[in-house]
Amino acid sequence: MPELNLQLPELMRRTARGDKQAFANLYQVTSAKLFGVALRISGRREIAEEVLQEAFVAVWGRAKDYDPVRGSVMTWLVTIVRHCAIDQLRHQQSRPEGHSAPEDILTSYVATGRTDISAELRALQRCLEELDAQPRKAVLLAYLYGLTRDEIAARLKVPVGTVKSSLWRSLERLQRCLGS
Amino acid sequence: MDYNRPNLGERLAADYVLGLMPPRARLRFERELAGSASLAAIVAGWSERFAPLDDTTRDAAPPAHVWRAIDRRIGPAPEPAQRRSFSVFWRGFVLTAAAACAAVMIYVASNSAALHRDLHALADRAGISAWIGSAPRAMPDIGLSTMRLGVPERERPRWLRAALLLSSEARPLTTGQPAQSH
Repeated sequence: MPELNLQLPELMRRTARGDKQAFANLYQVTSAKLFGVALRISGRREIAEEVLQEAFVAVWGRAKDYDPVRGSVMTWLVTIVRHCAIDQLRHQQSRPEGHSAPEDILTSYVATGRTDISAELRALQRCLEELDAQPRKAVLLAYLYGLTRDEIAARLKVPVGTVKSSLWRSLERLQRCLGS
Repeated sequence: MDYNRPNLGERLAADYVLGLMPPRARLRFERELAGSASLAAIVAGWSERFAPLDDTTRDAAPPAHVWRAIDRRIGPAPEPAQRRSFSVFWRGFVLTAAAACAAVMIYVASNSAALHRDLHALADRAGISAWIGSAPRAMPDIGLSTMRLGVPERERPRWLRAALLLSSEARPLTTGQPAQSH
């Protein structure tokens, strides 16, 4: 939705000036994507609703901190929602069950023959496939579900030291592969 | 911490974007981030690298009450906190100042919706953005202990001072409240 991307910086600028209507519009155009992200990490609807609420209250309070040279509006919003969801997750006693295997999500998404898959996602998938299986899974478990290193180690049945040591090397490879 | 050390900025930025940073470290990092354009550029780089993964997540329309709650909380005239509930509020009140998406996280040992609403109202009156959730059962009364230890008044965070002030407005206070333990 190119129009949306054009709109967002302007909506953010107005939100930062305290324009509630702009903030309402910002919510309107971004909340479905952000709620999807919150649901993915929280795993429970009522918690995801709380996360979305907290995130947008934080966005209202921090809108003036947003600086367009520091990334797109959507990326900034996703970062806030993900961190809210992760904070929430860290303090829950029970963790969401039944996460799909992260690689399944990615491969099945790309394999559906969809025509709207971005070049960026294709490139990312290609570069992720060049990594060893364990660090690749670790990256996806962290980003998609907000798992900690300890949880990743438990999930992959490897010592946490292995996760720590392999993760950064893999991220460097990923960075090189993506050409940046 | 010297964020300019080779790779350190990159490593921390990647941790931050992947969500691997513990809350306190994240707060420190965010403070650093606010003042460093170069660090922010590194974070932006990692964010944009991983952002395509979010395309694989299906959009989901949130229910209308979420927006209503947000709208209420950012409103120019927050609802006044209801006095009768403050005595309930202080019982089993556990709070931590752990880093949150918002300014503060407040845990209560009850999941009463009315109590949570009151806490939100309290946070609004104190001019802070708060995350409020039910405390895990295993969590001790950290907040109560902290306050009983008698953190000097001037060293209390602004929101805590505000909370105590508001609690003192709420009569009658019941026994076992942190405000009375000083």
